[in-house]
Amino acid sequence: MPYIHLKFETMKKLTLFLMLAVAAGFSSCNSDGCIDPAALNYDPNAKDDDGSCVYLAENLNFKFYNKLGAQDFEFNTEVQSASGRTVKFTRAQMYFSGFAFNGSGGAYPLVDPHLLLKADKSDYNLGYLPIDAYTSFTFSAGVDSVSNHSDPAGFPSTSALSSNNPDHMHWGWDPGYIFYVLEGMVDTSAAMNGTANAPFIFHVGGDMLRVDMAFVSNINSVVEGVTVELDVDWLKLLDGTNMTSDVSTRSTHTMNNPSLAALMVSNIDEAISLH
Amino acid sequence: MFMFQLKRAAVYFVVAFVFAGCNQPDEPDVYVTTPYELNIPQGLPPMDPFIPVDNPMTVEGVALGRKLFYDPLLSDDNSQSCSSCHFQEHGFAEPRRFSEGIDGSIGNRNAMALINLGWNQFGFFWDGRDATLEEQALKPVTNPIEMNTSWPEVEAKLNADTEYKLLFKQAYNVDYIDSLTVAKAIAQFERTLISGNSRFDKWYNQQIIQLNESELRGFVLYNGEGADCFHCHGLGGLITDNRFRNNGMDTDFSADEGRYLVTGDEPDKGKFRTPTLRDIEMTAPYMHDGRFFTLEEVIDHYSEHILPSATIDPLMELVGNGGAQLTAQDKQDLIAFLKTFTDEEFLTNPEHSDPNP
Repeated sequence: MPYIHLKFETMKKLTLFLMLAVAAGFSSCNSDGCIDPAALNYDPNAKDDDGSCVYLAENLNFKFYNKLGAQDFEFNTEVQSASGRTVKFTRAQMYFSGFAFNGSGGAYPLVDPHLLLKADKSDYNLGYLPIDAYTSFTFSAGVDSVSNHSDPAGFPSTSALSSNNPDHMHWGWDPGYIFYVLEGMVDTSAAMNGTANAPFIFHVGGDMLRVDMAFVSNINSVVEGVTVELDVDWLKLLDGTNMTSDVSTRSTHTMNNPSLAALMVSNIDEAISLH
Repeated sequence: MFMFQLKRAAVYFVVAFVFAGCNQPDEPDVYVTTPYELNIPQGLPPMDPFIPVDNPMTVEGVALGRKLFYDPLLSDDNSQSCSSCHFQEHGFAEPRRFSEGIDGSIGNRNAMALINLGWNQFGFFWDGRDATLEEQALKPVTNPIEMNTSWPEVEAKLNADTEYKLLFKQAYNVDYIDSLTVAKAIAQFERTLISGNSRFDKWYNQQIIQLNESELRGFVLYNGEGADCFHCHGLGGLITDNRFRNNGMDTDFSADEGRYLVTGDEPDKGKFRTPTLRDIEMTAPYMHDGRFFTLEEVIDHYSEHILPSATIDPLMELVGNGGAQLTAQDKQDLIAFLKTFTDEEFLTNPEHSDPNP
């Protein structure tokens, strides 16, 4: 909805503006400052440029290369898991949150740092990032604890967490968001020579199962925008499982089968890497 | 300066209009709409983000849509209206297994309940073939096994009706009534068909009553891995995720391939839209083909008779055992809970009844 979007954009700019205004307040007595009228923190009283000008890049984009091992991700395609079982995915998505980029001015946290990664979608926009040379960035797989215990109806409709987002994943009660959803079919035959015809389900969430991730990478945010590229191997998330005819080896809703949930989560760090 | 010119132009225009008005005393400016305030119960989200910008809710539009919904003028022989297959006391669903068209033809799907459709983002009908309520509303009129007429014929009848001419002018400022505007009005009325004041809501969302022991046991089954209803039907709001799923009723889909008929994707064979469980007690028969006439049969299906197939939904995770294997007591409790979704206020709301004398 355009008007909500507008409000949201305004909010983002306002937050940044306030941060800059505070910074400017400390330095307003001397005549050094940002002398470029195009900059967000342009100081009309400054005479000498002190290199503090801050500009917004147009777009911060994320590009995910969704994989099933060596091949590109595709739903309903049979592949071999590490344990040798034939599997196919029918639904695969996960939340990321708390994105922050470390640049010359320290860590810059994004204004709406939530992303719902879908295995069949690679391109995402996360708003704006000030122009700078960044050396690393961090985020969490899962939803930050404050948002996790907030009402999904309270987020702007553009947010990945909003109940207006048709793909949002929430349990509908206090445990909060489902961080990771993997659904599909697996061959459970003992000889592993059948077809993938038994369901597997991983619905995993809860504050304990958030995974903090950090990536060292030189990212130059410029006016035209910047794209961060990551690989996600969805098949790797099943490493260590041995899905048999016993439903408890291939189904978890976290609380009813916490060890299987934790096993899947232990693979996240390896499944996500710089492209 | 520019504004001033505009104002002056407006004055000229009004003056010109007043003089012209002397010759046309029968053409008052009737297009003045009143915004329609949806009454959204606690527990349901705002509908605004889902309302098309070119069809905002107005009191006039809703009233017109309601009149059209109940008007048999929309069928070839003036014998059937939308309400001939969508009965308010049944949650605007069809108590017959298959509806009968104007010439006695029978379809192969059960007419869906019309409840909280304004929030559905995944397409209408059992297979989701129309993206919006406005598109959906056009279809039954021309479907040979439903109203079996053509839009030019319906438009001719409506344009010959002085009352409709005025009502459409008032609601949409149109001089010629066309199919798209008819569909818009009906869609507006459908968006007001909101059910969210059942005993469940009074307990869960409003917290002003308590459920009895059997209902509470049913809730635990519904909302846990016991009967595991919540994965598809959710909790608290729409009581459906409106997604397309194969719930294990058949192994062969040749009789009705469901969502596949729309997408042509093999994995969509045998998938149908998850219906809401709101007012489920009153919307029998159940499933896309109305094969189950009682809630008992439905629960038996999910308990013991889920059939495996290539496209079965992974959420039917207990398909290996035929289902959730509920006890007789479990089934009784679950049905007691499902009946708490019955919203008497919705089923008898005088604002949704036939307005035509």
